Amino acid sequence: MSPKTTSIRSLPRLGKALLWLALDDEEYDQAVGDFQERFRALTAAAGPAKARADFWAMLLRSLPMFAWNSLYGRAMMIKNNLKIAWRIIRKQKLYSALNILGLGVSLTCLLVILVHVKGELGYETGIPKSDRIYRVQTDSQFGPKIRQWAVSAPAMGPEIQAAFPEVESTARLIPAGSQIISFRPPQGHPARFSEQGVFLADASFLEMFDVDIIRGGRDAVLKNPQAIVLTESFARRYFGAEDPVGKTLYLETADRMPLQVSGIMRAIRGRSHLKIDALISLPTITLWAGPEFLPHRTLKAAYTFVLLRKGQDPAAFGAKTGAFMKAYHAEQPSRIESIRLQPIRSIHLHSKLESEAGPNSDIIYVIVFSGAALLLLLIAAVNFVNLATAQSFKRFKEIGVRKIIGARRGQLIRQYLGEAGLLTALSAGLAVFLLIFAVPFYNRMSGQSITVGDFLTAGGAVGLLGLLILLTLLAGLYPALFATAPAPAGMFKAARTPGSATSRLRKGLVVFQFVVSIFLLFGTLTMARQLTYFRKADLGFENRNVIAVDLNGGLTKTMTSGAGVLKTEIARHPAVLGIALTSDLFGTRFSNERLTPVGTPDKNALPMLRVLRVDENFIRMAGLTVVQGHDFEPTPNGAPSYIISESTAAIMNWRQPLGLECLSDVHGGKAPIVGVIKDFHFASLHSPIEPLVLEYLPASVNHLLVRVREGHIREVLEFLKDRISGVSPDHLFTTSMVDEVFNRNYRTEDQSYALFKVFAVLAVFVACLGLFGLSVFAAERRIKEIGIRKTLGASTGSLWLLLSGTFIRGVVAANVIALPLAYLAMKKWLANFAYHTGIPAGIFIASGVLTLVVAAATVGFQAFKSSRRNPVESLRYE
Amino acid sequence: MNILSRSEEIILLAVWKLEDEAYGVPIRDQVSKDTGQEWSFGAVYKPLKQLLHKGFVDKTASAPCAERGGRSKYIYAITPDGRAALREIRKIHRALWTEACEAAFK
Repeated sequence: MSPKTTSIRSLPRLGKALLWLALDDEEYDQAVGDFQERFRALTAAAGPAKARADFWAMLLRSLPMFAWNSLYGRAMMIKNNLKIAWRIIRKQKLYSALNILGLGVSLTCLLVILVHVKGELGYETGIPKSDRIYRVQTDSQFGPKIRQWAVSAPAMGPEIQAAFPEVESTARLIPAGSQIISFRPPQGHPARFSEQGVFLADASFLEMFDVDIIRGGRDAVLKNPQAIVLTESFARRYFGAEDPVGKTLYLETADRMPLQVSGIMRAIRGRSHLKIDALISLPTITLWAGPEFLPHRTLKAAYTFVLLRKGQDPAAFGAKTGAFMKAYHAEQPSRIESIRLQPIRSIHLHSKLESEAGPNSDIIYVIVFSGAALLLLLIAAVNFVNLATAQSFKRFKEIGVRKIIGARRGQLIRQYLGEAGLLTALSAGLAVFLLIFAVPFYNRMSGQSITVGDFLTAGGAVGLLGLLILLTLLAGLYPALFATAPAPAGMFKAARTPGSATSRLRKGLVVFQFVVSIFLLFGTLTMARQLTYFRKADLGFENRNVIAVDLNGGLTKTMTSGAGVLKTEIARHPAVLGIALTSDLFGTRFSNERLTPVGTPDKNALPMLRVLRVDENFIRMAGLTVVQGHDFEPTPNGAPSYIISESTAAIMNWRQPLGLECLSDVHGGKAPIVGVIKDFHFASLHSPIEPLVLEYLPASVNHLLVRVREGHIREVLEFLKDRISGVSPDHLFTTSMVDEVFNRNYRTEDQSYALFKVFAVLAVFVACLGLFGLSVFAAERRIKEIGIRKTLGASTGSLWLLLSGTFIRGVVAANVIALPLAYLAMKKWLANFAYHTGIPAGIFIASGVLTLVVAAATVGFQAFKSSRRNPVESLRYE
Repeated sequence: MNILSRSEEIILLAVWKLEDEAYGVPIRDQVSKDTGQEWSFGAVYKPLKQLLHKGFVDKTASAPCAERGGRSKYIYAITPDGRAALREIRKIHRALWTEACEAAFK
């Protein structure tokens, strides 16, 4: 038999090792013999692959039996082992406490992050057909620039339905934006609320998303115009315990259009990127936006969802869209657009298009947080390994005696693993306890609402058990193998000589721990700097202390036309520095339109510009700088005019823009350009400044901006509320602070920073726990050496250096490794933002010095204590 | 009296039937054949260990053999107590089944 065939015919080593761990000598011998015999017979009969598969199947099925078998008749032994483990844990209080604390804290983090990740990955999975639902993404090309839209034209859905047989159904969902809805009961006060989650939807939406209809029929509720279906919580807000079906709600923001409540639905099952509170039937839009809306072929207004038939390939669909779009734009051949299907499940983590239904998250944060949590756990496991191997020198005598009495290595390893398992179990207990505090903290930070109950699932329990076993093996196996290896004779000697191999490993692991800690610390500091930059950067306009009042009800009219008595009154308030009207707030998405100079042959070739509608006070109030021409001047009939930004002039290639007459995309009117302003950051610092157009059009504004003297906000708010309700009693007084609205763009970064900070602090903390343990251990071992050195005249300082030097060197080495890595990683992160800070030397120094100081304090405390000790004490008993 | 469990009974019968050839592999094959299910080694060892503990079987190691990678066969043999236990279980079975109404299975 050649050597090769022999090796094929012997059992897989890992399998043998598992058997060895599970069974006693004689049983092991018997089992390996039996497995071997069967393995060989099968190899001969059916080939090695079959034999191996059979071996593993047989082994895995046998393992539970073996486990039971090893318990059987050995309860006393196990009890004894546990008792010893417990005694050892109690005897080495410090060591156990450090381990349990470190593991417990990092396990808590891991658990929270696991639930977080599970939630993030679970978007839309509650919808039964979500694996076949896609959103139509529209890519429009303007010159060299491609804009990617989450929304498509209202005509797109029906056209797709007609053109593609593989599409089972399509559904359009049109966001109604911010709306004020009221209910006027025959008697009593009307109920009025500002609503963000109202959409207009095709009737097919309910079927596609399997929305549960509690009252009314699924086919009927969205059929007629002016019908509205409410979620339960929405209905309760307006109607309390009353039956809402058949009652009338008014859409205040759309000329008080009456809507009939046709049914009650449940919210979309599970987590979804769509936050829907109420659905209005789609035909209603015709009454609201005119008959040309629904057949519109280019307006980007509707989320179009497509349900593919079972077994249909989205890629095959994609291949046909080119021809489809050509036919779709047959009347406008110059328009270059393409569509593609986005799986609905990928939207939350992978989609960053224009006009998303809400802020989406990013897969990168899921990866980073899982990674950070795992690294933290690894740091804690390293503590375990380090402390256990360090301690094992103390226990060599114990192991030696056990061996001499006749303990087999398997037994000793099991005893070690038992101790590790017990420690892990205790730290899991601590972790569960800590969850009580960690969960509210996490919720506050992430805006989610998880409960401790989310952790108590069957799958979670099994997962946790698996994790604990893995952790026990990870942390306990090396010390177990290491401590039980030497022959008994050597062990009594070894108690006095440090094993250089393990001490090298320990040093390496400490360096690893600090590399991770420094990396996280560096990341946190850089993030903090960027977030400060976000807040403090000069945006080019007045952002602070500006109150935005929503214009609704009668107030819109009062503000945009008439004598402006109220406006004058507000502006005269001593604490008010300026007021203005605007269509949108800074930091939100402005309208996206073209400005067509009169006489342009093909307007489709023009770039899209951001357009903000304002009044004559706006530029002054916001503190913008006019560089050419002049500020808006009020016109008697509110006739529009334009002021463009410098980058608009640049992109349109206008040398002399002043006086140029341009046509509006929206109202088709003609108006001149009267001025040019300096560029400013009207959107978040994530992206470069876009070309901007300010249109003087006080008739179509939505917000009143009031700039207030520092510290008078409350007072002015009271004043505004009082005056506005006096003039316009039906106004729903909703306000926001302009800088807060703007800074909402940084929420993802804020949340990540908050979590990251916790990780960094914990990583340093857990690493230092380990370091502390090691330094205590080192000081204990060298107690006599120190005593002797001291009697011979060594100074406290030199002893301190002697004791902490190794550790400090380790931390320095960790700095050398971690800082360049962290620098590269954070540079990459910063590149996500069009405007960002640099990474100054200060951050390098801070991370390095901080870890060094913390590490030095940790080991130094112990070193100092030992070096101060009176040598008489340490040398006394010899 | 210590009544045999069902798995012990099956295994003990297999040991008895196999006579001199009763070690792990043939026992497993035998019980798999008898019951029509694939037994794992673990499922065989556990009752065997209990039978050994109760004194219903004996275990002897054979000389090392090549097909087992130089390991011994551990051959089980039924003891007089084991036979007694089988007789006992058979009596119990009979008694149980005679009292069961045959009609119930038709």
